[in-house]
Amino acid sequence: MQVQITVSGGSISTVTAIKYPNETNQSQTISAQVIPTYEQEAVSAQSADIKLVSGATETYTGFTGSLQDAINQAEQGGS
Amino acid sequence: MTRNDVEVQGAGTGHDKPMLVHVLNVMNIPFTIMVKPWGAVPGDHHRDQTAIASATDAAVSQIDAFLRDVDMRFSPFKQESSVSAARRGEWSAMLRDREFREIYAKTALANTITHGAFDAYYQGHYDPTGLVKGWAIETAIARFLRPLLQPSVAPVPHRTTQPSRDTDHRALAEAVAINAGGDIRTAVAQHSDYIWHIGIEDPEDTKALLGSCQIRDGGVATSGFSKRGAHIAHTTEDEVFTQLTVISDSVEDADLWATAGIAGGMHLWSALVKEQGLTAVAVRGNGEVIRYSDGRLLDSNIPGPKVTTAPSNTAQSNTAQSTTAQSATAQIRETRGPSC
Repeated sequence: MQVQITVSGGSISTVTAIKYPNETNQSQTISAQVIPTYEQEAVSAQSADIKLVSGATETYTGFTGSLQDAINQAEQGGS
Repeated sequence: MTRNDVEVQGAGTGHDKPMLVHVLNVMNIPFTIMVKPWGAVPGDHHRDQTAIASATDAAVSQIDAFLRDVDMRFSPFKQESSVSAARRGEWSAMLRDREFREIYAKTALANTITHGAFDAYYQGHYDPTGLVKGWAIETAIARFLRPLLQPSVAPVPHRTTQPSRDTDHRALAEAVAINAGGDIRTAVAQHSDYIWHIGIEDPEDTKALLGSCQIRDGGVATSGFSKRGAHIAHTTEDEVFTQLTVISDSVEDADLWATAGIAGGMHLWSALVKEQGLTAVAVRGNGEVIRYSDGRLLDSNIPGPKVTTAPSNTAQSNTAQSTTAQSATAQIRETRGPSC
């Protein structure tokens, strides 16, 4: 599964599924769930409700404009 | 100051987006700190917002000071740090610094339980950096943010206004999290049903997500090559993943397994997944995404090492090894307790 998030003006505008999972997920541990991101819940950033983004180590220098930076801006109310 | 403080929303605008967000820059790593307040008490919205905002401000200041202190002691790039001294052969920090001892013991254990894939002595010089970051995030959550989730929160030295006794039994925050440059630790209050939704970045396009995971109290760490190039030295000639995300009880563990899985290559990773019952999302060099849950391979039709096929003779031969690894993990968890 792959999901494309469009960031414009410091906030997330659209989330689009560009690849689809070919199987549904099995039951997971209670504390951690890995789930595919389905198209219907990837309509907007709000419904996807992603608050945190995990990726290979990011530097502060490159933080501005990153996905997490965009989410942070959106959580602040779009300042 | 390199702190980028986010304006806390006023009482009139904070209903729909109550998350408090702060960003710190320490060691050139962006630390995003999120605190989700409990819903406001009707008629007393402003007081609640003020209390959680000032408690969060105080916690963020303490985290900032703690991370800078960790950097001063453990950075291999600072000549005056304890780690730099150790690299020159001067190990007195082992005697005077309990946390230095703790980190040293953990790097030794990490080497054992990852079958050498995690190596704090790569090329002969002590460098615990790969473990220090996860440990620092764990410690920051436990010492400074988890208290916000406890009822009758008291450890807020800078708070000037005392909440009235009728609501003081309630915790200030429902959920807290730190994202340190892509490595994440979350925690949730006991009576909250809050779930953190976490996106996993696509290494081919860092503005896109490969998928997501949901956790309450836990850690997510990703190792790979999308941003800093090859910052993890390979200890193998085996096929290596482009990116590896591990979801675990703590970010310290998640980061350890992600680092080991990237450094050690696919075959060693497959063994670790089974031994430790790991949950993870891996990206191969050809872009293929592989998911693992509790030690099982979720996605089929994967060429190369088959994690799903576990013949009985292989399982037998792994038993002794697996037991050793489990007890080592238990030791790591034990030593974490007193430090937090």
